[in-house]
Amino acid sequence: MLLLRSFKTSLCLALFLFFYLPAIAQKNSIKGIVIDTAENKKLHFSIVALIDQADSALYHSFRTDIEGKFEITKIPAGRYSLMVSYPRMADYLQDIIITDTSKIDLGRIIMVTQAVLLEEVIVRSGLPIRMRGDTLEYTADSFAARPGANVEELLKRLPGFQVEKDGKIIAQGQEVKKILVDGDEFFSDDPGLATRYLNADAIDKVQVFDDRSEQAKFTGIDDGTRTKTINLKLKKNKKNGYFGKLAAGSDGKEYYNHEAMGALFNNNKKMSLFGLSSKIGKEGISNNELTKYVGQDYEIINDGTGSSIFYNNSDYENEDYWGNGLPSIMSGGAHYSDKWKDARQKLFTNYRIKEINANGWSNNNGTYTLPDGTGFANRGESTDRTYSFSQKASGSFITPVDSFSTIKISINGGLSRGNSNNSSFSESKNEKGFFVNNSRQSYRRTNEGKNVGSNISFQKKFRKDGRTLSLLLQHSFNDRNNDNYNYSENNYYTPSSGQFKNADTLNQLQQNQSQLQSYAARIGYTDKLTKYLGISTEYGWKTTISDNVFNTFNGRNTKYDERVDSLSNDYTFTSGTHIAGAVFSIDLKKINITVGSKLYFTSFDQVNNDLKTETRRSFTNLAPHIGANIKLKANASIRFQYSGQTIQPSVEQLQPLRRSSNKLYVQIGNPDLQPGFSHSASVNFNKFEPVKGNSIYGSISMNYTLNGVASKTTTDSLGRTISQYINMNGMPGMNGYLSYNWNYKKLKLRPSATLSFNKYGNMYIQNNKKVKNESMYINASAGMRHTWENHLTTGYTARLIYNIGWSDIPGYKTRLTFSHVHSFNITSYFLKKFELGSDCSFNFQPKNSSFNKNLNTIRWNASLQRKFLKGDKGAIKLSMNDILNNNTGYSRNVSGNNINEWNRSVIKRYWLLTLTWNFSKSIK
Amino acid sequence: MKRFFFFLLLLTSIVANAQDFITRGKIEFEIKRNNKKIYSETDRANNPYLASLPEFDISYRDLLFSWNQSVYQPARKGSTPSRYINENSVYSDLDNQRVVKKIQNMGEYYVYEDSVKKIKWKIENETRKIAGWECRKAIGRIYDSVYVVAFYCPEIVPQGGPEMFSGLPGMILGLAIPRYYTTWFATKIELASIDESKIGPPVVKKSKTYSKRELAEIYFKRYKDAGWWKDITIEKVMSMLDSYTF
Repeated sequence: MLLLRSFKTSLCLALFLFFYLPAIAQKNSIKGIVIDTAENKKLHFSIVALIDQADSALYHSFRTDIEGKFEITKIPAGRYSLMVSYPRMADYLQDIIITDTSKIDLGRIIMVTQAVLLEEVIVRSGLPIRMRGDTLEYTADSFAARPGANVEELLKRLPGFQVEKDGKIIAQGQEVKKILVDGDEFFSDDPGLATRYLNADAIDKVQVFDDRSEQAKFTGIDDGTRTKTINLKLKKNKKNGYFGKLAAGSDGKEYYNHEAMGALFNNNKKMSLFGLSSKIGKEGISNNELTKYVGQDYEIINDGTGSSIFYNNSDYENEDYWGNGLPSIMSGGAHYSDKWKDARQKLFTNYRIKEINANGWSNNNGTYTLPDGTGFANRGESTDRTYSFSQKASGSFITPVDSFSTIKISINGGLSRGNSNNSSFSESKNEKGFFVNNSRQSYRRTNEGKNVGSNISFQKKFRKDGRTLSLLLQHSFNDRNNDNYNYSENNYYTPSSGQFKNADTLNQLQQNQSQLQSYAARIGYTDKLTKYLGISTEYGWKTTISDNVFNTFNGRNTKYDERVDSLSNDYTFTSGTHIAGAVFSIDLKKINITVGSKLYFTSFDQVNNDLKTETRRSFTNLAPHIGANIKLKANASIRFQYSGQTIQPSVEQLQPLRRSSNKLYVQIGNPDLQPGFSHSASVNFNKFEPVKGNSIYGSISMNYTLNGVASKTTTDSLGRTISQYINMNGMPGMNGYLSYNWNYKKLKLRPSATLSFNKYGNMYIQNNKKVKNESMYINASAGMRHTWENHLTTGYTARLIYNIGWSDIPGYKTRLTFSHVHSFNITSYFLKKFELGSDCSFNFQPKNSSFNKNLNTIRWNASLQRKFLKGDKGAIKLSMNDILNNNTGYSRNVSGNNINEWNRSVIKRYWLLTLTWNFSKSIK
Repeated sequence: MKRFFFFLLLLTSIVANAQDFITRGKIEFEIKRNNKKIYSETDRANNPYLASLPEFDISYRDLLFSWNQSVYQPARKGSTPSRYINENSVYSDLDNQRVVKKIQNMGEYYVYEDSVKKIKWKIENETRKIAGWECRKAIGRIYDSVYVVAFYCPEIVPQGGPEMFSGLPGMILGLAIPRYYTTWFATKIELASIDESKIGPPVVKKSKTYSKRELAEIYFKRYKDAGWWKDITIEKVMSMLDSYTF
């Protein structure tokens, strides 16, 4: 018996050795199980192919067994693409690195059927949709965009995509934040440009994925951030070539819109130029108008002082056009990038220029209730003329030092100037119906600004996976000068009788010169403690010096030379911060958790150069962060997030100054303000079914600020207000969003429904009484789109908007405002070359307790286009805006104890004849 | 026997339930050679025989397969006015990476053994239907510079194909070699009972099973003796042995 046993053992051993020995060179293996979750089936005989990435040749292919399982052994080490395919299913692709000893278990590989998808797309060639790891890949030609169509039109056709009217792109239920062309940013972070100017027929594949942060990509430690990103892969023959667009549109008189764009791609070299000149005041111009900012493509070291500083490197406020009046815009930009050394060395440069001229007028009506039940009814009107001009440039150079480290140098700068002129009239009545004041005011502002920022970073990877070291040095400089010439004449009347009482005038020049410099450095180290647990630690330091000189001069005739010392101040504010932080991240297959905190040791040095007084303060601030991403299925995930942050008062809030452009309203700074602390938490859920084309997206978020900056105001019976900054607890804010999009394939109908709410409130002290105001918006919309391929698309959306305002002022009633909007749009293609488009929206604003007027408007736009030339490269288009001349620019709003309605100048009816030519050519 | 196979087929189809995968059957390939492309306009203008050729030479071969064993053999008559009709055939045993080929030379048949030809395939994204079956495109390269376009059917599990082509994740149902102006396309696929006893290495009465090298040496000697192929080398003979079966 014993003998037998030992014989058995040795036999086993012999057998083991027999099988084992030949395999000793490559002990690796890769296994997995292929399933179809839709029918919960294990997919037997699926093809599992290993494709060598070096020459993209098939190394070998295998079939899964009856249980859908596969195991591949003895694979030569290298980089492979694993491709799983099954009849009538979309291919699954994943990149894997195989070493001589790797033991990879891919677990469940979920396949998605393509049968349903194939129904709705015209397949010209190939598989229209495939999954490549976490990336959904669409073959552009399968979706038959019409010749001459741009990428935006292509995206509209892809299942799971939505392109909203203002150009916002929603993919898989989430907004797309970044669009790349061949993996690189095209004109920095500006999604508009690529979708607007690239032609659909230049695109080979559209890839959609959740991009990780630069930091996470470098360190391999997931920090939980995800950005919905589209990558447009160009066709091989379009990678080298030029393309562009010329369009001219005019009505022969006042309105025009001209655009020109050209791009030249040659291997890794990319050059593009665009110019725009427009006076059609398009809605949502800030979204469409492409030139938000030149991306500063590095992360700014945050010292936790938040808004203490007028924010460096961000947009200048006067650059954005706020929608008043009729703007004429001229804008242009250039981009150049190149790569060398197998694309490891890169250079990117961008330049933008923009000029806006706008004229406008507005008027408003409002009521304002005080805590004692009294209040004011205000009426006002104003006209304004604004001009702004800005230029920006940025560049980055990235170069490898050796195979483990890279250096990146970035620099950006901008210049801006502008001026605005405004004249206005306002008057107020009290609750008894007597006039208490009126005011005639005019001001002229000129401003100038410049800024420079630079960043040098060094990043080093170690042989060990996840171990990295990074060093960062930053500098920024910002200089701004504002001159405000204020003139106002106020008349005051006795509140009980409305009799004239007295008058005052203000004629002042307020000069504000501010300068900011900051220096920062940071060292960061990351490591993987185990396969699943990563840690990243950092230490940083930042110093910010800001000088704010505010001078007020009284004016006599046209001279402003008498400095008013009580209204002037020279203030220097220096903050120095040491930053220490640590973040743990747990990265499991289905769940990813990050927990960490930063500690800021901040010292403030506030110097009042006029009074020669100095105040020093120091704080320890904490900024905890917790986040979790849970992957439920292939296309569903939940994300939780909590973060806390110290909120610092701004220099303007701290500077001990009375600021006023009109004696009716005076703002006083407070040097004793303390930092507040804000909490914010959110839950996001999204689910996307590529097969059915359904998506659901929901989110709920809350925020609350302890000891934030609020205001303490005193309003007298003449309607004069003095406001001072104080510390006070805020009110919790909350907002929620739920949207569901689905699809009836047979009927070619795509309905969608969205529900959202936004509740916010504020507390302040009014005439020594604490006032609590709350407002809520509820927005419900439902829509439907029908597509008759190549003939007709029609859509309808209904939107109901509720606006509720509460206030705890005694006797104040809850105010409810309701409005609804119905929009129809239709696009029809006929006789091959023609396209007719029309959209119409009916806006209803019924009367209610706050507003006693029904206001209904109909806005109807239409256009007719004919294409010509070979490949439909030319188009002539006649469009008509606001055919019924019904656009009023009217809005109403209830916010706490404030009720307001206003009209502003808007562009009404006009027509435009536009001629467009798209050109492109490949260079071999 | 037939009943047994029917039963087996039934069994596999039960196991396979929704998706049927094919592991045995008979495929008829239609082989077309484009004479118009092979001979240039001037050739045709100067040579009345070449001018008389139809656009295509067409011949047929059957591929009988069961799992990873297959035999590729002559089938119904085509019309090949420019070529001699022969009985060449190929037996492939992919499990053991072995092929046995029956080949005619100077009126005599020989049998030799070789290993399966290794081809670097790149799988493409294009699909097309061949004989009613959805196939996927792949591009391979032979002799370093000759491109081969193949269409394989993922629903047929054996990794074989016509001639000596194999190694894709399914049966090759379509093949084109642009350089040689020749295409192979499946015209029909029979899944009904096949006689598996026919799948075996070919034998010829007078010939033993040579190795490729041995047979090449025999050929080389013959050519040399005959003296009408002056710059003959053994390598040239070797690559000639790789040529198609017709």
